[in-house]
Amino acid sequence: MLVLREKGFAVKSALWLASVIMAYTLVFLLQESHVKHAQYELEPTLPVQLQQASLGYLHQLGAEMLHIKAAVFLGGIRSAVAPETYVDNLADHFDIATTLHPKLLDIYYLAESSLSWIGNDSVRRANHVLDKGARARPDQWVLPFFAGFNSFYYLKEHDAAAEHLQRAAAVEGAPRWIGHLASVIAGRGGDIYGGLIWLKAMLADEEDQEVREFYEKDIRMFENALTVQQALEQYEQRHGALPSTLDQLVPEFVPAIPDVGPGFRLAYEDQALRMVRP
Amino acid sequence: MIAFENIHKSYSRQVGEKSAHVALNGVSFRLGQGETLGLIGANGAGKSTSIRLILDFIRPDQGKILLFGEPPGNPAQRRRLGYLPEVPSFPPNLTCMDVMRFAGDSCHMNRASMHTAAEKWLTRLGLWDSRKRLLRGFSKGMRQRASFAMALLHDPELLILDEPMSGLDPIGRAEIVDLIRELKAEGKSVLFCSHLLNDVERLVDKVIVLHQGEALFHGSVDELVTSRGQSMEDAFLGLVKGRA
Amino acid sequence: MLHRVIALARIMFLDGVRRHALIGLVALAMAAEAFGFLFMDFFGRDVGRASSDYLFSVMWMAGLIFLFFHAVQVISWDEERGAIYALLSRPISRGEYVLGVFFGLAALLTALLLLLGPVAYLTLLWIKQSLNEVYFPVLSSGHFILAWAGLLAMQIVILAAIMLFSGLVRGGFPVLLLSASYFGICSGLPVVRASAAQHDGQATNLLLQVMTALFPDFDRLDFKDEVLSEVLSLDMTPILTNFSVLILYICVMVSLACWFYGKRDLQ
Repeated sequence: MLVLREKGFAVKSALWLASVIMAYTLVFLLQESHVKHAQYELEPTLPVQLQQASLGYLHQLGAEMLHIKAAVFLGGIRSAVAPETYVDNLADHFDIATTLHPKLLDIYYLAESSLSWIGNDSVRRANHVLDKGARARPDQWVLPFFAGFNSFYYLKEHDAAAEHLQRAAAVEGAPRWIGHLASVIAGRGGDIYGGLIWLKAMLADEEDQEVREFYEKDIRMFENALTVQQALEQYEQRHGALPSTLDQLVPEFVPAIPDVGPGFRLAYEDQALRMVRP
Repeated sequence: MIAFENIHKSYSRQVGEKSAHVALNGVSFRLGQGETLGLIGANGAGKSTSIRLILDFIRPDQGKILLFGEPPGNPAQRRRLGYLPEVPSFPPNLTCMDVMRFAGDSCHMNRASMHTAAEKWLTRLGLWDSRKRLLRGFSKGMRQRASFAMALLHDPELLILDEPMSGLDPIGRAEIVDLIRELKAEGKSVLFCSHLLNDVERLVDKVIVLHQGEALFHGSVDELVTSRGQSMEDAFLGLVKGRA
Repeated sequence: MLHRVIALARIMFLDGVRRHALIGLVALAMAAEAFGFLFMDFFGRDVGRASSDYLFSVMWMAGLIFLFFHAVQVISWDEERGAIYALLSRPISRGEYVLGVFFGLAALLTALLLLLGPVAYLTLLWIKQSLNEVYFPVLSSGHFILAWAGLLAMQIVILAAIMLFSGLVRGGFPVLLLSASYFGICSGLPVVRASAAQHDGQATNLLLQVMTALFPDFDRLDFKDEVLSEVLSLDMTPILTNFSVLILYICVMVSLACWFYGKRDLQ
């Protein structure tokens, strides 16, 4: 009798357990059917001071987690999702991550690849992040190079681009062509003086004869352009305003508008003299 | 050995209580060299409080305590005494020999004499074979005996035993009673605290009866028995009920 | 005195070393370190730096778990279980007891980091050797040891604070709360100070400076960024000053702990 009673209790316990598990499974499935997974949302991150205070010694790891979070998010976006829906949030992640851990390179690469193509505002945010990187990692020429590229290609801010590229060129181990590129962009931006000074500086440091000849050729072109720049300045001094065309400088301020060479031509745009590619 | 003069001690009022709890109210007693004093009383009488005051675990509100002629705050005095707590407890992941070694090191015993003493007392108390076992695997009685060994390791002059028979089976109790008699015969002073009045009667010279923080009687066992009743137990009950 | 302190430290160390929870912590931390190469998979360029940060973070968290789950409770365990009576019935003063507990726990913590440190270094070495030099150009053993020593020093400061709080209050949970609050203030104060330096007046900055003397800035001994630096080119004067300040701070905290514990009734 006792054995039967014990068996009955065991059966009741088993039935109770099975029914509870089944009920839980059903309710869970019902819950899941109502959940709409927001796959494309990047949740906002906490303010940087709060993260610095709470993470303490782990602040670098916190930055790496933010990087991973952003990378995983970017890896899962479908092409139909408008970037405007997430760009500010994403930029915040990079900004905070680079404040927490300015030395980690991967964040800058990811910021550059994901922010720069979206719009001017996001490019500026990318450059703000890259500037932090340039200060924290002065051994890395690629960070100011990215900023220079963004300024030149997306923002059309040639002066700023030239400045970034000059900083990149000054980093030990940077490719030599970056300095040349900085000069060219300075010229494109209307800073003939800046471009010329930079070329002369590179010439002074260069030992390779072939490269020296290349620089000397560019220097001659810039010097020719400089005569026109100086003529513009003299015109402005005399007349109180810049001329509307370069022809107005001839012959009083310059005998003729020089041909600056096969690689460039002079362009007078927005009252600035620029050396542009033909 | 011990001079306990007009000691007052209260424990601060806890949340929910109306007033502070008075543990001792003007208690005095003395323990001379070679004497055995029994401290008896019901739960909450003040026995453990008295012992803690002697060992400087707590400090009195009023009164004076002298241990070996000095206030008990100097830890060096404890080299001359051995204490057996009511509830023996140790860090659980130590072995019996770890505790013996600590006891020896704390009294500046050299390694050889510590080993000799440890072997003597652990063998006497039936723990030598278990000396390398972790204490968390010991029964209550084994921990009691390990604690006793620790108290005796450095050959103290004064023993303070708080419920030494607690947790022991009748055979163990008899062994401890014999051991205490031997220690007494060697001239050691013993302050002995117990609920088991038969053991107190057998072992002590003098007794002090505490009840609700007051000393109801201080004198020899014979005086207590003859003045109050036929047996120790009757005498004790008579005192307590008379007080109530 | 030294003899007694060492005797007590020894039993604290033995008790800790045989605790299953701590053995489990060591095993888990070593496994977490050894799997650092999984973490590095998320990084395409600065693999060495990310791996180094991860491994030092594992050591830091293991130390914090030890401090906040074991060290905060040691004295309260002794009191609650009554082991304190067995220990203090020996010719050991309250101060020697606190010192013994401190040195025993410090020895445990050092042993923990001595186990985890070489595993971390070997993991980094393995990662470095399995990658192109571009992704992990430098691993400086000197800087690694410096970063490890800084981490240990910071955790021993926290341990000293735990000893002080254990001497002040009863119970493991209140000590845990106080220690966690202390840790939070130490972590947050440099952020407040950096912000206040740009905006607020002299009085505020002076107050924050005084608070930094009470709640030390752990960033001053955080050298894990230097592990991937070239030769040992750091200026040693400020480093030695920072270590000296922390050692003296530890002495003050532990001395206060001994003093407070000596004044308390054991209940």
